[in-house]
Amino acid sequence: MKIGVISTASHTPWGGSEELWATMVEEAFKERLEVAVSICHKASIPSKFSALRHVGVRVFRRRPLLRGRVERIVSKIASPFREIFRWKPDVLCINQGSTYQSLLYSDLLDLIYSAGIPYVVVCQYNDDRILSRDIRHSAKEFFERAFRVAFISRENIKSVERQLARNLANAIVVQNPVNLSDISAVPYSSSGSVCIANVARLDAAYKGQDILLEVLGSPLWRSRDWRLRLFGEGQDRKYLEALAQHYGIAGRVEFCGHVNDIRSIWEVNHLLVLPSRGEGTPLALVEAMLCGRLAVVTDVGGNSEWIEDGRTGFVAEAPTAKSFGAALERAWLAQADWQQMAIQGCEDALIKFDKSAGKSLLKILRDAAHSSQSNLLTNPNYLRDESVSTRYIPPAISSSGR
Amino acid sequence: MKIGVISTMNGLPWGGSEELWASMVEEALKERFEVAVSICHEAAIPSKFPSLQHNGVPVFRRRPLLWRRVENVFSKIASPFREIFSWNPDVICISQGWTYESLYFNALLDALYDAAIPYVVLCQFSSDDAGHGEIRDAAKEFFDRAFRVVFVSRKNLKSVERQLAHTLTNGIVLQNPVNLSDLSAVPYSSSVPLSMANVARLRAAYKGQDILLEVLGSPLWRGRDWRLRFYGEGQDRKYLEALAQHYAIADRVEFCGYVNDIRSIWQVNHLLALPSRGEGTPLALVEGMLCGRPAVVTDVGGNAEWIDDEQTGFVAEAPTAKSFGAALERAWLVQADWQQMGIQGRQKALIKFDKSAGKSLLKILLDAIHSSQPNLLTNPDSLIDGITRRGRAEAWNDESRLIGLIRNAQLTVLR
Repeated sequence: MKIGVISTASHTPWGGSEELWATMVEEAFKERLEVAVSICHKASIPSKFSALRHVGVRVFRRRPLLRGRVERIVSKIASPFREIFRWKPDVLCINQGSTYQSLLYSDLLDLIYSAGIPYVVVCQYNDDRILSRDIRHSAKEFFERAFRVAFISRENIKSVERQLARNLANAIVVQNPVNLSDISAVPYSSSGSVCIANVARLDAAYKGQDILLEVLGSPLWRSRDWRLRLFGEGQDRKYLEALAQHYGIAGRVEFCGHVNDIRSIWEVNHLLVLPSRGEGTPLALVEAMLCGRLAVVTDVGGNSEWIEDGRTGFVAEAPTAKSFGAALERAWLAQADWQQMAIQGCEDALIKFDKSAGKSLLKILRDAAHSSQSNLLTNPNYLRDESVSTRYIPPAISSSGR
Repeated sequence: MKIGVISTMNGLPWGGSEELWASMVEEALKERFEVAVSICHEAAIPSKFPSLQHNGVPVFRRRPLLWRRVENVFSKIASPFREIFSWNPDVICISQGWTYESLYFNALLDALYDAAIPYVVLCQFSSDDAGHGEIRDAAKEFFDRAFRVVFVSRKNLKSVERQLAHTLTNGIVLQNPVNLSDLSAVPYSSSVPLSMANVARLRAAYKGQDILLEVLGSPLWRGRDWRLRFYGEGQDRKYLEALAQHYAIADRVEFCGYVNDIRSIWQVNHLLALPSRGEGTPLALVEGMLCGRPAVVTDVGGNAEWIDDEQTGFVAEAPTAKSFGAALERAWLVQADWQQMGIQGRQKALIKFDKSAGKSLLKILLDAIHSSQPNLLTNPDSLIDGITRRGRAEAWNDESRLIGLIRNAQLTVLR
């Protein structure tokens, strides 16, 4: 069986969104399946994915994605995906950082439809806001023709269904693989001040670190004994440094950069804070729970599917200073219970987390390849919808034109 | 005295964001000030502002805003703002739909700083998003040099300060004028079923009507007897119709279009539902309260400055189906109190609302002129902000005075 992977990430070297498919490739390689991968030219594959560096796995690097119309014209002359389609995979795994990313590649959808290869879409993140109307129809068609559309949280599916005004009968929830080889609890540090850690890209538009700083910059929090450490890199570092200065708390906020060894973070920190404006399911949360730390999170993405408010952490209803501040306040007042809550959270996470996330995705891809029917036919919903099926071009016709 | 108004609205005929400056213009003309206005070419001034159409107010219509870099090049050759600046206003009122809109008009900031005319900035809407890295410095300078930066809610001001990592010592809060000539309560309709009204542009990205439909499409709400009416028009009408269909509640959801007569809305509806993702302060809320109706709102913009949770309405913490659903649920369970809550909200709004919003803005503009010092110096923050900053400020003052002198000299020659 030949598995083709297309990661739609562009302009970034690597990210949490790439871990799932890369782990799946490792599994497929172990099982001696043929694999080819299409990634952007900037991608630098981490050394832990050894199979991807092996000659047995084909890696096709794509030119950078261009702006809207320019991309459309250039891709007609030279499609960035021609190598992977020529390689003739039996099944395609399309991994997207955000739900509608594939639609930015004007020719990807046409190639998939005309090749008639079954495909599985993985959506690592969805924004709870609304769609621009011009992509709603093509997004519907793209998802409905897929064998499965995998999301990282149930909440993400619900938002997408609202955005499309359509049920996704083929949607499922999968988990990302965890970056921990040792999953024993990390001993709780007994250092003097309370140490709070944010483990996320420094990208405030998504990760909401600005909200956290606004909370900690209030007179109430300034008078308390705490330290905040930010683990991660990103475009907003300068802004967040300026903001910590503005709120007069720069002396207690430390920017630690990206840290590979997650356990080392929890050796010196007591509490995870994630004031995100949107999420799939943050790996940092699952990893902290496994390490035995509790978290204060916002109710976005899968956060409240993992944290039970008041029992294994604290959930803020909204990514606002008011709401996150109230949740952090409840946490502060329950400090004596943190260790106990974290043990509870660790137990929950050990039961819930998928120890072989890569294998789970591989299984779905096998099912897709073995479902003898073409991807179109696997979706009963699609056939009922006349407006869509009239726009469908049978594979035979369009591939003969190629 | 000459007042120049620049509305940065672009590509739209009119909007709630334009009411404040237009009301100010009416007041200014009553007091016999000279006024000129710069607006986009699509603007259609409503008939309720007669002076703007008849009283010889120069209305300079601008060409459409172009795509970023093209605009940069083009505006150097022919600035869309040349007419209003050549008219030589003594003070400029810059009305923006969105807080950072002026930064898209390169020619505007340059012309403003060169002319050294005191200016007041209005920000009708600010999102609570994170800061925008690339424009932070330019935005800080733009606001710091203003005589006042006016917001329509305290929360908006706070969000902007966080976005800029900077305190706006010249930031103030004003209100928009209300579209009601009759301020008496509208009798509470005894009709069944209970009707909710959403009075807002059909633009789900901001107004969140999709969230409301998700809530009402839940099995719990489908089993209840209610009606929902949307008052407003906008690009998302088709989407919202499809969504109502998707949630199988289309027969109970009515799209009524835009309605001028606010009171007629409240003659037949019992509750205002505003699931907005962001707001300044929605006029529909203040007007709904003045007419005597309770509201369910999200805690964005000025909403929670107007609605006291469980007294005059219900406030949802977040613009999400879960949070708004919980607030709407609390409302549903106390239906019997709605009328009383509406009366209480009305009393609060009667005390709080600014009956002469246009005059309030005019007063600020007059203060700006009469503060003899240039706009920069009115901001104490910029004076205590370190030597380099002060050095730059002084240099700028000297330069702008010089440019002002040259410009005046040129004009004298031309005359």
